[in-house]
Amino acid sequence: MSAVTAWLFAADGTTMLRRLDTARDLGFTDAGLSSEAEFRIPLSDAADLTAGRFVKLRYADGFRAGILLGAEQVDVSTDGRWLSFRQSREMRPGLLWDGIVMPQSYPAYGVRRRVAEDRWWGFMDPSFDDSGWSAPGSATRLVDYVRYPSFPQGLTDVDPNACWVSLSDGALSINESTWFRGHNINIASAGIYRLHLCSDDTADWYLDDELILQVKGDGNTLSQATTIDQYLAVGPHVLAVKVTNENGVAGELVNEIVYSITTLVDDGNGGLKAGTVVARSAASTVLICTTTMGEPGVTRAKALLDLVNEAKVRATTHPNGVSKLTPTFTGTLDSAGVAFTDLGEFSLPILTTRYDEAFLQLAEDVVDVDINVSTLQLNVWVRRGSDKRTTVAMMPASNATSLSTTKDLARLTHMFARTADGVLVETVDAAAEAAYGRVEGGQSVGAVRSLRTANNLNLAALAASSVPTVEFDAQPIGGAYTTWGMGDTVAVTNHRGGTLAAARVLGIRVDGRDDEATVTPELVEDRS
Amino acid sequence: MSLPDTLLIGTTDLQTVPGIVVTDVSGLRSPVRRRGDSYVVPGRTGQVGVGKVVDAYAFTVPIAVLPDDGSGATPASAQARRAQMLANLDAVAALMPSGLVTLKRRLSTASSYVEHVAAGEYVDGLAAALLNAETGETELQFVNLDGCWYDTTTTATITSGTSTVAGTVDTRNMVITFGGAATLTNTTLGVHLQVSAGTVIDVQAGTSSAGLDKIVAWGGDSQDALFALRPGSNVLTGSGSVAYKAAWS
Repeated sequence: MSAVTAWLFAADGTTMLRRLDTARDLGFTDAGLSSEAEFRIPLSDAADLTAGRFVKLRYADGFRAGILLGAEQVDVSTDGRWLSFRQSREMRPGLLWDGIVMPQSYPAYGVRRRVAEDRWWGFMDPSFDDSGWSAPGSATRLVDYVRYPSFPQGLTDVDPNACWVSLSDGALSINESTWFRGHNINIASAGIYRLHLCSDDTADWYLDDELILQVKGDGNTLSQATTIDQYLAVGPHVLAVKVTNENGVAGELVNEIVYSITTLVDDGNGGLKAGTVVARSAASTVLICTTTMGEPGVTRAKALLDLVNEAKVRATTHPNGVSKLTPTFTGTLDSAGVAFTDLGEFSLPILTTRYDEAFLQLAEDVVDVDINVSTLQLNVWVRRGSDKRTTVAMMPASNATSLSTTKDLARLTHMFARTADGVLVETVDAAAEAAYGRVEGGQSVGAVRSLRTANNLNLAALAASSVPTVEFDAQPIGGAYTTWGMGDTVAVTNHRGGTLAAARVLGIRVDGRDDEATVTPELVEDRS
Repeated sequence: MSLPDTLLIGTTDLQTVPGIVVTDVSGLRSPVRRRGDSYVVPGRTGQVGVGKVVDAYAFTVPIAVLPDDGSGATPASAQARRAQMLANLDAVAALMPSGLVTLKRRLSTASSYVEHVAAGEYVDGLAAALLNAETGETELQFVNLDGCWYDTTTTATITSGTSTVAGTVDTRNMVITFGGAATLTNTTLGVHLQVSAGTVIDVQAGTSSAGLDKIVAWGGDSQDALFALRPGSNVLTGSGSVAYKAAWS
């Protein structure tokens, strides 16, 4: 069993300076982003442990944890003889403390005149890849002012077209949505512009990454055109809208939008009125995505990639730890070349969200994110590790000094959720009910309107509790990082030494003392 | 009959101190001790062994303190002989460092002796007991901090191929010279060291002349040393020359 050793690295994170032979009480918890590390060193040997340098802890032939000296997450204390370092807050290895989520399209520090409070990733993001979307094609027509009585008329430029999803794209059902993206909105001079927006029927309108309007339709009738005066900076902008049919005849339902953006001119009466059209909805400026094409979205990896790349740009003027990371994934493929499937929409508050918080929020339980401490590579996996149950089993009489399992009964087999519209959605895990009896539970899903989304949330809740949970506590001998490692699924003697259960390694705690080390894995039941 | 076996404190042979006779040299040939614990696994017979390294150990050198002066003569009066004996004890005390010192042992060979060195520390043993009114004896206690003894100079320089490594204990006391980017592997122990450019690496000290960042990877040693050799036959592959000092119990 190898010892834990400490090594000092330069501020670049990869230049090894010296071995810290006098470091003691070395320990770390390798748990992906939520990692910890600690050590202490005599004050007399700490002169070159200066802020900005790294101390990396090595175990089992590899660097497993690290501490960025002087980082916000690192607690430093001394008793007059020893200097103790402890990076106890989340984020391995304290590298990302100085990264802050900035407004979109502003890689340099500085805030534009008007910014949203949240940073969005999704189809409303100007950088969103909408190459798979389709043009309205023939499904457009000149705006019908009878049909859109409130839309402004008599403007000095071309009238906007109404754009809708064709029935050939598939008949929509009630509560299904269509997404539209308006392109070619190029503003030549910054200023206040007037947006005229109309939809059939319920719609969320976004300009760039900002939600600017929510319209609650009432079924078959069109919503009234809404005008919004908005400051627009020079350059390209994206107007995106998600339209949901609330009512109508199934099979004939289509979603429809029309918009124009105009300048503002003096109306001669001391007020302002719409002037020249600078952008409008038309077949050439609008793209459509329907549910039959798959819900649009971005992967969490894409959001992580955006944050890292922006931090690298900012680092030329404002050095930050994030810029030292090298992503090994793309927006579509993980570090092992596996395609991401977690399409969705994400938002983070700007200017107040640190990168470590952002990474944790984006990763959640959906993807596995980690930093290679040796190379400072940022890795994202759809699922880290592999199934090693056929070769690795933790059990007494073999390789574990202690091992225990605790099994809890099923907690919930029926789940209820009430949507924002007051509809009660019931979801049942029939197999769990048959096996463990009926156990009901309810949850609040907040402002969710979609019945399908509420059902999905119920399913997620049941997945976590509809079967008995098993907790493992193991103290294995050897094997960490060699025969098994982070993310791997191993076999563990189940309750009372009976069958073998599948356990996934979510974390590895290593406490180094001289040339010995105690290794304690954090194991959770693998239900995948 | 005079045998060469003795202990040198720094560069001074204990037996050159007037009136000092080393009465037992067995402490200079102590077997090494190893540190670390094996593990008890419930239900499994015996214990699960883990790799251990040699640990520091204490050894003693018994001496007799005679009333002889530097020329080998003995003062005429009993009081003068007592004083000479005490002076000789003081001379031994003056040799004993307050801190760390390099210890050197000499052990007999067929026709001469070999010398080995170790980092050491004097512990105790200046409270002499009197054998009679003018002759004392005591046991000087030392700690061998290295846990073993090393050759005083480079034992040999070996490169790729099969080499017979001297010594009785695994050694990590070596300097490895790389002419350029290379990987050196000791297939006998399963350890490897990879560098990205020419450099001289002191394995024991953990230093690299061209900077530690030239070390790309290393591993395989049970205690995470940069490299290691085992007494007896070792098979090295790759590039790099290893100038090692053999380790002895």
